[in-house]
Amino acid sequence: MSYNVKLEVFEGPFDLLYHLIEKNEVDIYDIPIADITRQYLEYLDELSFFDIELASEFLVMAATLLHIKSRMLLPNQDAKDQEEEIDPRQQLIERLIEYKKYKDVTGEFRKREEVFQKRLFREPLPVDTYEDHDPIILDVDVSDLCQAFAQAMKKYISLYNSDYDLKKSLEKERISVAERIMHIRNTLKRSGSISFKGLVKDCATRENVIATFLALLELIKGRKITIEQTAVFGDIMIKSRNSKGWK
Amino acid sequence: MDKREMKGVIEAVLFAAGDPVSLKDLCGILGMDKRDVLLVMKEMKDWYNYERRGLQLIEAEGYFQFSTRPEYYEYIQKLHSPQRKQGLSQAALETLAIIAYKQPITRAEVDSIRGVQSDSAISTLIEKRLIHEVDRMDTIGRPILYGTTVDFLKYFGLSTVEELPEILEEQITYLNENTR
Repeated sequence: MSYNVKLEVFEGPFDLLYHLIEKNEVDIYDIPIADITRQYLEYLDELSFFDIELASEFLVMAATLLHIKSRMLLPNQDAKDQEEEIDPRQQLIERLIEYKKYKDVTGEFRKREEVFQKRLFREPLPVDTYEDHDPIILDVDVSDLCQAFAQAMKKYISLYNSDYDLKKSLEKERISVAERIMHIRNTLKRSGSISFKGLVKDCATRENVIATFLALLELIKGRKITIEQTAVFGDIMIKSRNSKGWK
Repeated sequence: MDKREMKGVIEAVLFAAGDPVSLKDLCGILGMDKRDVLLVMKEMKDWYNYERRGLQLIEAEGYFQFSTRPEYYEYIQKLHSPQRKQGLSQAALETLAIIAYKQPITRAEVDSIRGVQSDSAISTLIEKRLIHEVDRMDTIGRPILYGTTVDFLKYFGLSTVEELPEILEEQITYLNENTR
């Protein structure tokens, strides 16, 4: 049975190296190279890489560390000639410090990210909000439609009051909004346009008129039709929005 | 146009636009010069902040926009939870920090500082529109030079790159002095 130990994820060889230096609390300018190299290699053994690219980056660093270690072990033959011996660790230290600069500042970035992610922005308004590209729909608003509806209702109420047979009305014709939508669609498919009066003319009951009215509102909401009124209190023309008719 | 009216116009324009509006556009809309507009913008910005308004006026590289105040985020969340954008990965953040401070910079230079390849971090940052190609270096292969964008400033709530948090050079010098 094998255990999968989840190790801390390092962003790269410098990240790992830096972690080791901090963990050992050693001076960045005086890295105990033998110790750190050993620990570095131990980590590499434990890490299981799937990413060959990333693995190779870590291995390059391991090779660098080993190289430095070997140079430090060997007596420097030129040392006698040269006034000042160059520390083989120098270049690595410089790179580590450069890396640390940016690593440290990421904490600040993270803090700012957290705060400023909490600002919300408005989405820009759609362009056609400024300019209505459909002047026909501007001609009539829902209140005009309501007015026409009220007129139709008035007519039916007067009909009801005069010669409406109560007994007959018990047999209600159940008309749904969906049916009226289908009716309007079919009518428009046939003739392209129809007037509001024409549409309610053949409605036998009040429910039917209401259903028709609701069907119209539904179709307007779905932007399936346009309504147009040429004169105040004039008849309202209903047209299919798609000039080619219903698909 | 008096100051009060100017502020009204600016507020209306910024609200309607949603997108950031440039100082230049605002000047054109108001028919006034930059100095006057900036002065009024500054007053507005301070007022929104002083009054702890729900909105704040933010500026990035000469672009202005309204946003909600971060402090009120939790209350907005109660209404509906806006999709919380996932923060950047550590690798992306590290890469972004290097690009921000050393821009314009090539990918190879970023790689050498991080000691690891930064391809995927860079493409994530480009995708998020936090960095972009600013130029090409005049050497073999003409490598792309990357720099940060206005979105980057907005993301971290900065007005200009000069406002970037200071890099701790002094801490490094301190280390130098104490270990040598």
